[in-house]
Amino acid sequence: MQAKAPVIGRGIPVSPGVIEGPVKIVDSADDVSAVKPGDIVVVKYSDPLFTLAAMTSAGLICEVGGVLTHICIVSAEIGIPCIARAEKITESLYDGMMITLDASQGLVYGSLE
Amino acid sequence: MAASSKLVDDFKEAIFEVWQRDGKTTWPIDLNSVSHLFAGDFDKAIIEDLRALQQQGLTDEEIGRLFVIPQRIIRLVVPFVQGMGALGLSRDERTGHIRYLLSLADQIKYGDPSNRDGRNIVLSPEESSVVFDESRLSAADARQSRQVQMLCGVLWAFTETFFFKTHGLVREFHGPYLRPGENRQYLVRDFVCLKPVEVWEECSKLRYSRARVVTAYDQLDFAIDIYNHVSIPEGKSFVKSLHSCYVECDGKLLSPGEIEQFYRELSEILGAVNKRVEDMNWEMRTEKYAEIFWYSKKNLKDRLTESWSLPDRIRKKIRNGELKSRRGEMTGKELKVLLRLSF
Repeated sequence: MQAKAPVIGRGIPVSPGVIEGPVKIVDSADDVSAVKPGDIVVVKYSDPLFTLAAMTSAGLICEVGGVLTHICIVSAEIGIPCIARAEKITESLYDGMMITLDASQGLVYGSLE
Repeated sequence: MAASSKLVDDFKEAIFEVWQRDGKTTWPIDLNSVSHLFAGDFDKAIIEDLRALQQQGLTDEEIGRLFVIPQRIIRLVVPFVQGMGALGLSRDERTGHIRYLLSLADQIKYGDPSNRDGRNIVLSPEESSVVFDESRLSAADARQSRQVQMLCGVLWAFTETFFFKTHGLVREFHGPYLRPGENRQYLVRDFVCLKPVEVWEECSKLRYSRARVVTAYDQLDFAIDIYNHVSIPEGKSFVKSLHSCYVECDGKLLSPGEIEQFYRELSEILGAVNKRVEDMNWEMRTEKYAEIFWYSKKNLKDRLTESWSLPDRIRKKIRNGELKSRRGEMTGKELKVLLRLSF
């Protein structure tokens, strides 16, 4: 299924794993409190408050940074799939959009429909 | 203790490796764009403080202990290098100051000061035998394992919210420690300043000032670099490898219920301070950054019975100053040249 779904973003693998879920773009304190378990959190930059969102989520995509970006380190420590440096990924995603994050390969897939 | 030239060379190599992998944290403001407004004054102040302590007859080890953890000294070195440009010091003078700071870190660490062996060994075998006493460690199931890793995550975010990029000034992650006859690796995460009430009044509500999270991992094979980043090989998992652990705050062992409560308190205060920071303009954020730097040497000032406070003239300088545009990302070659030329 994944092979046929379109690749809509790429990044650096930080914490391996494959997860499917709805996107939640986090850019404010309100966004942090709106994150639900199972969401795949997407952040443009690393703000310590966003770490709380990542810890509630099932996966993390960070537009910037790398393996030593703090929010990515925390994701790796709690064992959720995470990629970093997924440049401009927020331009391709919207809240609630179903995606598959293959953090082992550093790939983001859209849905088949 | 390492030879002084080796201290500097090892430090340069270790820092170069971290910079190549660094995530370039710029929250809440890029330190590189504002450090010119206070870094030179900070260097001058800390040099004077260290001289005054030496004149009072304190040994290097006693001075090192005033920094509480080796990481505080290590984390001050690069900002110190950046500030030295404003002081007009010769290369030899700069190297001499850096060498002295690194020797202080060396004095209060058992292992290699730059963690060149992938280990950050702060405790001596005698000290570590107390920390890893069997009676303190509890076996961790999957739920507890995740709870402890989540606590570590929120503690990290908490200190970053309070100390910005320089949160390394108040935390030390050390290990891997090994016990005779075991393959298990022990990691200690120390958070030594959770209530800097002089800088953030919001944290007065927190019940603990210090937290220590001790975790024992099976077959994790973790390593720790000079900036205390803990890395694991691909395919390994902190949560799955956790064998046993304990959380100690201000000398008290916490139960799972108390850990949960502590997590909630940290999250609430973190949120309140984060909101306050978001409402600050760049000058206010820069003043706070400068305040954090001066606060990091509060123990030195306490020992000298002087005020640690950020001088008013620095506040004025920041308010009348300008942001410096950030230089672009440097290549590995440029980084090496910068390190070679700086000290």
